[in-house]
Amino acid sequence: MSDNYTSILWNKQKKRYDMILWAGIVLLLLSFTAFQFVLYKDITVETLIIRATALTAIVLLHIILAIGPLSRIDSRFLPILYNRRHLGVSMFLLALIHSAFSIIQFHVLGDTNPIVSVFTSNIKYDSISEFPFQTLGFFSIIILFVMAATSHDFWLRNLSPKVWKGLHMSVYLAYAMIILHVALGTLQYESHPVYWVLLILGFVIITGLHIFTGIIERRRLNGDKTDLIENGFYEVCSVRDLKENCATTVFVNGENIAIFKYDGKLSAVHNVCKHQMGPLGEGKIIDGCITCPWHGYQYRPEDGQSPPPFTEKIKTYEVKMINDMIWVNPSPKQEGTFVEPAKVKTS
Amino acid sequence: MKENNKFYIGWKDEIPTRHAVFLKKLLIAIFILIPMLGFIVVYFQKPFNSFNFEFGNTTTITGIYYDSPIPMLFADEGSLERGLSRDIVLVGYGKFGAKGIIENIEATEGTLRGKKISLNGTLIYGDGKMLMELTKKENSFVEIVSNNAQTSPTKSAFKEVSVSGEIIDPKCYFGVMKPGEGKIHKSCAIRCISGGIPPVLKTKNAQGENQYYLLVDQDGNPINKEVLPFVAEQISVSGKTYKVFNWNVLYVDVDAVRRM
Amino acid sequence: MESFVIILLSIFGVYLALGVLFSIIYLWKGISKVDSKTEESGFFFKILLFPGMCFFWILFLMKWMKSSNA
Repeated sequence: MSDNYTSILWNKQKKRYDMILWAGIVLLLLSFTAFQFVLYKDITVETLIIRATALTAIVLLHIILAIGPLSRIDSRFLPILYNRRHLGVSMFLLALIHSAFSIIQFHVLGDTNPIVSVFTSNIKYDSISEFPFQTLGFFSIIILFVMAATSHDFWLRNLSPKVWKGLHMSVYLAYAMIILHVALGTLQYESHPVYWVLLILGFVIITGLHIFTGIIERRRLNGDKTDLIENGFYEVCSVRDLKENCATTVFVNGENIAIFKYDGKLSAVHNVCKHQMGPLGEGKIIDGCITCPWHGYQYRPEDGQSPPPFTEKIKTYEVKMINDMIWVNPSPKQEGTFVEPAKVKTS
Repeated sequence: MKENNKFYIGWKDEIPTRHAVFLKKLLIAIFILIPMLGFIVVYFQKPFNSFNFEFGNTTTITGIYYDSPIPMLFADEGSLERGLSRDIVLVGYGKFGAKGIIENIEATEGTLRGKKISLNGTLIYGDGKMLMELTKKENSFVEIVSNNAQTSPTKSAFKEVSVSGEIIDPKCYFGVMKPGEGKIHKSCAIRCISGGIPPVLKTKNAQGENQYYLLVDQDGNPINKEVLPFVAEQISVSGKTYKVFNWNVLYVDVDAVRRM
Repeated sequence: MESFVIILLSIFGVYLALGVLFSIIYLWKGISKVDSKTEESGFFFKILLFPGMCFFWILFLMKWMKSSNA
């Protein structure tokens, strides 16, 4: 959260995070290089750079894609999600070095413009085994570039969070193309089964994590509420099901709603953080504010406004208690509208 | 506020204990796995050959220049280290053949065919084959040593062969790139052959040893763009072949090339 | 096929070149008029925005024109 943009909002955790991240990157690059020179001293420097950066980038990409689902399964992964954008930009930089060296190595100093050559040297687009894998790599690096270039909160605001999120979901398209780029490229030459095992294992883990998380997310939401309607209010759950300073989430009439219990009161807000659409309902009330579990963005529960000097606002909803049951009206109030909290009365 | 101590907030200075304990174990596991992964990925690679590209070093060689079937220099005895092949295929700088450079030299020096000349370039060699890159382009030409033109090189009798293998570009394959073959090198091989570097068919004989055939067209002339669709793929081809120096030359009918 | 690729890449190249030109001017002069949060932001921040701006420059040109008309 910031009232004025700075290039990077450094704090102690981010600095520690980046040090560990780059220690890991350097460890992989150096150990890969060392093993190459011990086992295959005849390797050329260009091949070493191309392979080392490719391996490190693809490992990072798998970590990046795994963090989202892992954080939903176990909140102890959240510190890794917090600074995920630095992971992403680092991965892009390594992929960029790989792309640049590959284009220079295989396409420059020839009879054709190198970028044109990427698309036209091998034109077997109608074949699987001979498919021009470098074209897949090219489009992937473009996607990764756009994502890295729009990693700052400036872009979230100026492209709008919905467009920004859509743009950044194209990481999955890049991932699919990169898997094919490896399968149809290097694995056509380096054909030892161990590489196929590693590639497929990575893909299965990422896909499996996403499917599993999707299933538990569906179960976590209280499901569609279409019955027991009273004056536009829908019954959600018993107030006894809620822990203090925590929320329950419900999906009603297309509205994703989080209902928080705090200080003997109930308030309902939109379950989506304005920052990067994090799940507010998985957050907590800290110092009187709903706190997003992803990056710590905060909102007052009674009006959905971020505490000054911050200006983010989310939609609010009317909520009431009947006996021990919580009821919510899914018709949203305008972002930042004060709604009198319901008092918690337990029988 | 024990409850709140378990909730992670990124902008606070410290992480809650339960997160920190978990992450420490996770990071230790990751940092152990990283070099293991590096080892596995390196270990199972196909070995690299020990071919050479004397990058950054040029050598002056004197020999007889021939332009058929392709630009070649037959080095004088003793002008190369022992064990290196004297029949040197000439290639240009970058992904180009030598033809353009030789034509420019001949524009000022007159025809070089059959003459003893000295050329300065970068040597590329491996598996019994030798090439020279005319790194300094037209400045690779040093001098004409003897104007008395020699006759064309002796060619052996023709024989028919049926062979299968991969079309490679000899510049990359014999030392400039590792690997200089296969699908990952395909684009580069196409660029090199398209730029005039003579295509070579790499095959294996009955004993499993590598054999190389310089490809020419049905008239015995250089062939480049016509073979591009087959580069870096497993193909089989039949045709007549002859031997010149240590090189086999294979006449190719592109319409009769079969993919395997 | 080659001419088709050349045409497409040339169009994209021209687009990016215009983006570079626009981004230099916009990051220097125009950005604070469109997004007030950038008023006190430093030079390095603008460098950080530069690559993305070259890509999305049309969008920001429209925003700049809108804010000038308002």
